[in-house]
Amino acid sequence: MEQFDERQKAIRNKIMTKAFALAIILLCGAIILNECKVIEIGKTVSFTDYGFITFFILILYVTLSLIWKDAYVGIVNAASIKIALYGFSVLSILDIDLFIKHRMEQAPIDYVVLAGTITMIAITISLWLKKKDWDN
Amino acid sequence: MAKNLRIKAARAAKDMTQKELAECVGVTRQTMNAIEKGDYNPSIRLCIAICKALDKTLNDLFWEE
Repeated sequence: MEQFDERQKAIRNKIMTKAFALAIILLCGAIILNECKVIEIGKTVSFTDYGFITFFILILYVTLSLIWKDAYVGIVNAASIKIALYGFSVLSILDIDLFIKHRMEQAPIDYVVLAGTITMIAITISLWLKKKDWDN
Repeated sequence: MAKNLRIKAARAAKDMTQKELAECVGVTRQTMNAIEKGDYNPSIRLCIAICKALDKTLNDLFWEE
């Protein structure tokens, strides 16, 4: 069997196309928000931070869509996804721990770290919920 | 799209699980499940593979009146 079957390939193509459109929308959104002075990119949020947040949103959208539509690598390669599951779990715990420590020190919220933490937690939870699919 | 109960019946008649049929035709169990539930419209190539695996014709499994 090929790595992905025809249904999975069709889903992956559709998700990638939507992700591309989402990337354009997010970048256009940045220009509109900047022009309307809702957020001032470069002052309120740096260009790099906005780029990273956009990147995390795209990663989150693509990964969760693939997982919940059964078109991710775990369906065909249980061994590699198990390693990813435990890796993501450890990273999520470390991320949460770091975030709590920062909040306790009353450090200002870093939106990039927050976006990264949310992405990591969402992927980890989804993988745990889908674990039964590749456990047998 | 409506559920395809004819595939399910033919599969049960041959005493095959979704996983076994999926392996036989070279797709994942999830894809087989989606076809039976009517969530996915398979290609003609896959339809033929399913028919061959279940000893049925395209009319038996996929033709809608």
